[in-house]
Amino acid sequence: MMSLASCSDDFLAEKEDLTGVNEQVYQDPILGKFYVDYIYKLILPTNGTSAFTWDLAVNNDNFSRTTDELPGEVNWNKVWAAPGTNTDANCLPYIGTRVTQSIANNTYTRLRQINLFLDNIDKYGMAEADKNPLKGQLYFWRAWQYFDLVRLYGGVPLVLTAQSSIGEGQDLKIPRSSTSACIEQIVADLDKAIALCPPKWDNAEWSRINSGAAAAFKGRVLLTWASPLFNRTDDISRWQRAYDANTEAKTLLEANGFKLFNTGGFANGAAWENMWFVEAGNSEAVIVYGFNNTSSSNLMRNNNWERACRSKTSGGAGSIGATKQIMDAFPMKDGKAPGVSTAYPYSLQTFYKNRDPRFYKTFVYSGAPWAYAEDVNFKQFSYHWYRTAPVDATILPNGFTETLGTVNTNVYIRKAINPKASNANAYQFSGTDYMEMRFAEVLLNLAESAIGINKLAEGKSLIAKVRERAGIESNGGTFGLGDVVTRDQHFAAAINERKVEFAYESKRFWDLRRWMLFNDDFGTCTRLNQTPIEGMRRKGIFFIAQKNGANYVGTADPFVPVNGVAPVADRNPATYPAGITTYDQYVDYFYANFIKVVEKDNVDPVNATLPWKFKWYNQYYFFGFPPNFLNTALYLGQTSGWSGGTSTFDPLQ
Amino acid sequence: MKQAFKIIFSAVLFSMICWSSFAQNSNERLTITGKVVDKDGLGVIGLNVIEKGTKNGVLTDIDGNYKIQAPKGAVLQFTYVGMKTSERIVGESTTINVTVDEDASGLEEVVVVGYGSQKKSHLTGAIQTIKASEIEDLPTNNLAVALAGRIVGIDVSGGTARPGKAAAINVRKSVSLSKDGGNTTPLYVIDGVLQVAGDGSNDSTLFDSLDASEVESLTFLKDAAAAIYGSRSANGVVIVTTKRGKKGTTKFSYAGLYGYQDETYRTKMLNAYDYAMYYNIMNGANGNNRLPNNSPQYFFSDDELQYFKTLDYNQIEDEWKPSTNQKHTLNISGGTEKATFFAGGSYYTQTGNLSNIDFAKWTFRSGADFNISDNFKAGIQIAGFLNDRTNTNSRNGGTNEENDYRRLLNAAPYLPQYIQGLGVQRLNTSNESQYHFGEINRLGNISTNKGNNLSVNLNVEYQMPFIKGLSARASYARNVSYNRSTYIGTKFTVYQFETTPGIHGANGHIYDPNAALSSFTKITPRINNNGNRIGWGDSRSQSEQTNLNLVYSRDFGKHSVSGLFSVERGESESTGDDFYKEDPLSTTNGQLFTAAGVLDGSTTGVESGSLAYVGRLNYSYSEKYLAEFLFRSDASTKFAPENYWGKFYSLSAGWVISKEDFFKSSFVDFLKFRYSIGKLGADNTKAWQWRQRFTYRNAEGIVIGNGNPTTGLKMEVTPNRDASWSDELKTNFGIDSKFLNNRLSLTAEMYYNIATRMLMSKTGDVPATVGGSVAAENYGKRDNYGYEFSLGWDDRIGEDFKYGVNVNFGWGNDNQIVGDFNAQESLLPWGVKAGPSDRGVWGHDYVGMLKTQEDIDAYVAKYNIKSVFGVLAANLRPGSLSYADIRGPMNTATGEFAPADGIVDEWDQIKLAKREGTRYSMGTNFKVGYKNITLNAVVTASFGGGWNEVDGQTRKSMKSVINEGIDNRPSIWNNIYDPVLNPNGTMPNPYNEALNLAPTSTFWQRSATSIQMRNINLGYAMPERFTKALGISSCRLNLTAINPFILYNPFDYKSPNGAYDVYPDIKTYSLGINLAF
Repeated sequence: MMSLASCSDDFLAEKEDLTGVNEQVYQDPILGKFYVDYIYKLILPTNGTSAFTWDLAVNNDNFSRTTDELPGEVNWNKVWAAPGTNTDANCLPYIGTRVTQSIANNTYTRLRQINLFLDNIDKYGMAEADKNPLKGQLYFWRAWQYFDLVRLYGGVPLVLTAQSSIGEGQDLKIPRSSTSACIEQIVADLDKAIALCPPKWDNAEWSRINSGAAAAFKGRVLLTWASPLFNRTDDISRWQRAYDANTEAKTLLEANGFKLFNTGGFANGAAWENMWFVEAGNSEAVIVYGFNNTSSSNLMRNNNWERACRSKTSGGAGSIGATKQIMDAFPMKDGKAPGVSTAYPYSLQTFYKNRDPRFYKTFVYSGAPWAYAEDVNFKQFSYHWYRTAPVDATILPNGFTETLGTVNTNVYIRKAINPKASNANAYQFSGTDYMEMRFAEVLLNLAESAIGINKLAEGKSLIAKVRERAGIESNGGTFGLGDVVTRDQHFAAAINERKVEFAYESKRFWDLRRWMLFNDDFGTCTRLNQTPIEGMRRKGIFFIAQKNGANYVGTADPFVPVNGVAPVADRNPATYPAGITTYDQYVDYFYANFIKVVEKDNVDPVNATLPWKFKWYNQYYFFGFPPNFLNTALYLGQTSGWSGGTSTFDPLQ
Repeated sequence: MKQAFKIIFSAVLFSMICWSSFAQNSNERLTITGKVVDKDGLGVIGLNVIEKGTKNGVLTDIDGNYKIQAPKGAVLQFTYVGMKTSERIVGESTTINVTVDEDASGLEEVVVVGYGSQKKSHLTGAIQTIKASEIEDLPTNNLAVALAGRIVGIDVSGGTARPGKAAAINVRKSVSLSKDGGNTTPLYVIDGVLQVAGDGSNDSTLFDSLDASEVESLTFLKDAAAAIYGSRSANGVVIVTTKRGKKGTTKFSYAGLYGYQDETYRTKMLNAYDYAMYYNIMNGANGNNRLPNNSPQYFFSDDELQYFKTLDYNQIEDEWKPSTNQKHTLNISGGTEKATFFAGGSYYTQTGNLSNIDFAKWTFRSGADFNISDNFKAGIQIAGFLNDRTNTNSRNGGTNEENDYRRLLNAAPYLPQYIQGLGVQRLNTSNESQYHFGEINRLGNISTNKGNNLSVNLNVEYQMPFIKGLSARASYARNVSYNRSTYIGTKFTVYQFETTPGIHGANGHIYDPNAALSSFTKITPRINNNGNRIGWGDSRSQSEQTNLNLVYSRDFGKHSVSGLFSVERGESESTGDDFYKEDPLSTTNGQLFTAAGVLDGSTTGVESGSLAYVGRLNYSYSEKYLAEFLFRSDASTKFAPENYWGKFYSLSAGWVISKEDFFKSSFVDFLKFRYSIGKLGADNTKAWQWRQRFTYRNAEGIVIGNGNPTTGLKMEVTPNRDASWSDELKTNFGIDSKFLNNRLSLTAEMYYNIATRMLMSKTGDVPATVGGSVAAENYGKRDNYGYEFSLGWDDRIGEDFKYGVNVNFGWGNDNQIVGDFNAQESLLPWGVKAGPSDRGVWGHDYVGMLKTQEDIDAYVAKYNIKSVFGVLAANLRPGSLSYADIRGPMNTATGEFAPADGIVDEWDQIKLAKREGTRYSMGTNFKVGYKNITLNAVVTASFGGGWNEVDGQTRKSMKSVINEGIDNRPSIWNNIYDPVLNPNGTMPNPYNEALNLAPTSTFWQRSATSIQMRNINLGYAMPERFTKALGISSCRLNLTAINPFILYNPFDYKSPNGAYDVYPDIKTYSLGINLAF
């Protein structure tokens, strides 16, 4: 009570903030690291995302559904009554919303946290050795964030210091920079990152950005800048710049032990299959998103990919299926396209035979073996039959073997699915890392840049290296690329290779954009001999049970034995018929006698009145700013082709 | 507002004039005898019995008997200090026995105000009090619930649903514009101690735990009179005075009650058949357009529909059961000239209506006051509580206390919870579908919350011998609370039953709980995690407050002067820790060694302090002219040190016009006008936002390998060093009046408050490229105003029958004058902009349901429709709702709308209602008594327009694949239109939410009026002759009902308030007894 006598308010000033820190983050290297690490968290996928088809801009797989990889209607493949209206959901909201009372995780908030650190880090005396790697990582992520915006919207406002809106009178209006100015800023930041980041992190710091990653990313940026979307006049100097950057990246990475992952050997794509399951020290992993594999505590971040891909029958969620279009893109064993190859003829009924080894590491069709920890001999079936005789040919089979439900295309994706994964918790605690940039991409980026400057042979040899690792037959070192002659044929080979090598790795959407392959309005589909996505219906496959050469009709599953006898044939018998010694042979026998392979055409919406087809609007090559963003900054021009705003911005400048 | 006031005021005046013409006369004088007793049946000694309007009067004797001569038709007045004056008309009978009531609203009553007490007649602010004895018979676990509808301007919400959940009090519709730092909790002051949480914000913990039996009275400060509590009083103040000992013989009392509890209203849900029809119509040709023949997973077959007609697995019906509550309280008090004491305790317990829900509470309080010498007094008080709450621990599909009720109510009605004793999981693995109430209860997956508290008050008072009327008082209070919450979440096994189409219904949707297990194609055990961990959390908070007061009070002739000066210092802090361990064994007892997995945890802490200088001056002249001045200066650690201090004042005055000589009225007994004006302030912002902060984020860093998660540091809001106190100017004009021998009372209040420099985050017009968020700035400006009436009538007819009614009626409105608006969006008619906060309701102009292709064609032709909420005209189907096309997009440059464009979207909104909220709220308290029997009832109503609609969750469509559906919907969906399946249907096809369900329109509108019976209390006081025989001083019995029924419900499927799928409001019937010795 005596303290009252003094009436001093000193005791108030002694109260402490027990949950936060202030400038110490610029002084203490450990706190600085925490600060930088939080940026990784803001940008990388969160717990439970299916990382292989996830994209930050949509926070799910909507971009993959805007390609031939996954079916389903999303905002960028459907018909709009008034396309190009920025109030519609087809105007990409990724750039963010206005500032709100809570701190959202959006583009300019991430940039602000990065800028705040870069503004202050040099003012508090932290040692160079401590602060340089921190700065380098943040320069990389600033470049990353701006590139993500530029490839979607074209030029955006370049905010390079942290602003404060508190009080009156500051000028916070930063105009929209031209696309080229943005690219130069991104390259400048990446150059700083290359200089400041270490060339390689040791295993305890694995999955941080190193100088090779920054260089490789610069290669990706400049390749994009040289691609037809931005480079409408095919300016060779841009290809040259991309070539130089990718060469620098390849050199830098190789000097630090990065190369195509090769453990297990190239035969039958063994190394290619193994590469997903090696974490620290993986020579393929240029940029990698880490995940935890522990089941403990909800603080861990797990990759939902394993769970989403695994069938319901084997304990997964079975929620995404592969399209026939992507299966068709895989070459035959000799590297030639299906139907083109003479050594390995192709038919729909035997679509699974004699394909590129990557085919078997990417897809699971009915009858394919698909091991998991609890059942290493598991075979995945996804066939249908008629429970009652169909009245006409339009009736689809209504009996299915997977009573828990199958994927809509009846073909599962098994890329990066771990044969040793356990279904104990429905695969939900998968720690499989996702390589955002693989060494294979560095090679293919370099290949495409080389082709751009007419170094065709160099380009082809780099593609061949990727095919070699995949286990494709060499045929005298051609790897099926013998017919590739012209520059455009070389470009096409690069794009086709990416479609296969990076299938279901969130890359296809960006390649389609770079080359404007959604339709042939710009002539690129013709140049590269590609089927436009617009107008497409993505398809699956029906595996229909046959009996004596006709559709099997019955309520019971034709291939599952009841009391030792299956109605038609046992799909996985203990002993094989005479002349058959392996399960692979039995599958061939089974397809030949009991399965009819038919295209399945109801995976995209079935609409009685208007037949649904993939619809692309060219506005999507450069998205408009959504109103919630634009209404706080009308001085920014709206992207041309979009409504809203008071002036127009040309993203091609 | 003023207009309405005039009308009501004149109506009241008119009725007074009518009443005054009742006088009659006669000359025949009779000798009247009788006895006057109090409410306990004891004779009242020395009471004045007067023939009204004459000087003829007598006093009652020692037994309360009297004898008086009076003519027939004369009015006898019975008056006594502290009792209500009663009147009786002399009729044929020569015996008039009277029971007089204590005068709860007596004009000489002294009420507790901030830092002291005052005569009620001297009050100059909007202050209302209630005695706890009025509500102590109600079988509730917290005080606030019992106050519903009783106090004008006080809104009470919640508190009658899930056991142990407290109700919230809101004074005069307080709002907070600051997202994190603000709240609408009033300041609670318990025996002079300001209730603040560790971070310095208003805290209701102790108030929520009080039992009515330990409380003497409650005072509500609604206007500038609260300024004496400074910064914390902007949301109003609730002052609680607990019971103290009284001189006299030792009194001992016991009260007990036992209650029966059940839901007031249960949402009506779809039965199995209607549920199946919902799916078939939603997935049919006019919905998702699946082909029934190809897609058994989307449809129920005909034989299944037939089967479902007799079927209704109703999980909530199976699990819900009536519950009970009981309460016991004991009080002892007494004392001598030298010392008085009070001690009391209470025990309350309530079982839940679902397994594993329980609540119990103990409170205790004891105190003693000592007169050490003539000048020196001291007092000590010790109080505390213990409470214990248990709930089901539900962690599948998110941790939410409501999941148990929600999943049971929403369970699909065609699925049993168990088949042959095996728990059933739907054929999908979504997190929600893994929930199984039966299993997690069987495994004892519960969460508990145990709190305890100890508070101590010490005070000494010294009467200065050398200055008459001056005294000094010092007090110290300390309050420590400790809370522990634990939970157990194990793994549990349920089974997926794969049916065989043809055997279990043609499409395999029949699940017979008695079916042979062998009849299923496959039964897959699923091990689900109900969190799969055990957790412990502790929080500890403590606060202390020291006051040093100087009080002066003296009368100089007709001048009466009093004053107070106080220095108040407070400190509070709270710390918390929680830790948990993964993988508990199924036999876990909640201890950490019964779990095998990782141990993890975290700690938090906050602290704050305050220092204040408080002053008050009161002056009254001849009890006619009253004035009060309040001052307070507060320091807040939420601001930068240079901005700590804020100063608050208020000035109020009153005029008791009825005491003026010129005021002569036979029917007006008392009339006072009063006015108050005060400048208050608030520090409604989070602490430390004057500096750029970064906060630790566990596991929010980079993931490296499979190892431990790393820590991140998050950038917090852009700081504002200049933030300081907001200014809140509050004015209040009030009238207190009593008429017709104090039988009629009217209190009227009109208030106008304006807040400026309100702390709010200014973001609306900040370019989005700035990013982040911002600290609050002194920016906003808002006013609110309204009126409140409290009208009471108390009378008796004849000797034994008394009755009364109190009506509380309030209206309020507010304007956001300067707010966080976006210039561009303010241009929209429905945009957020300066002006009334309630901008009405905007939505779409519903123009009918499209039932046929002709309807569609006509609609498309009429508006030249291209698309409606994203659905192209060609894809419109029968069973859709349709809306008028009004406009095209707004041009951002000009703010003008394009003409109608054939696209129905957000641009086509119209104003559907002028106001979103209802205009009026009313609480009515009825009282009737006959001899020893009393009946009390409270009815609340809200009415006067506004908007009310079918809630959003009811309007969500179910997932189209049957196995993926995890919900059910209310019964309004039992009549969906389909041209083939249900041509007389009235509800739209639920397949397209954006088109048919989401848009706000008159289709979903319901009445905004609701009237609810809050409580009824029937009491019986045992006559004296029985209590004397039993050797006790009094005995009362009472029968009480809380929330017994809904008088008017605008919905035909759910209760008037709240979401349809949360623990419902509970009705309670209880029987209680009060004994005093």
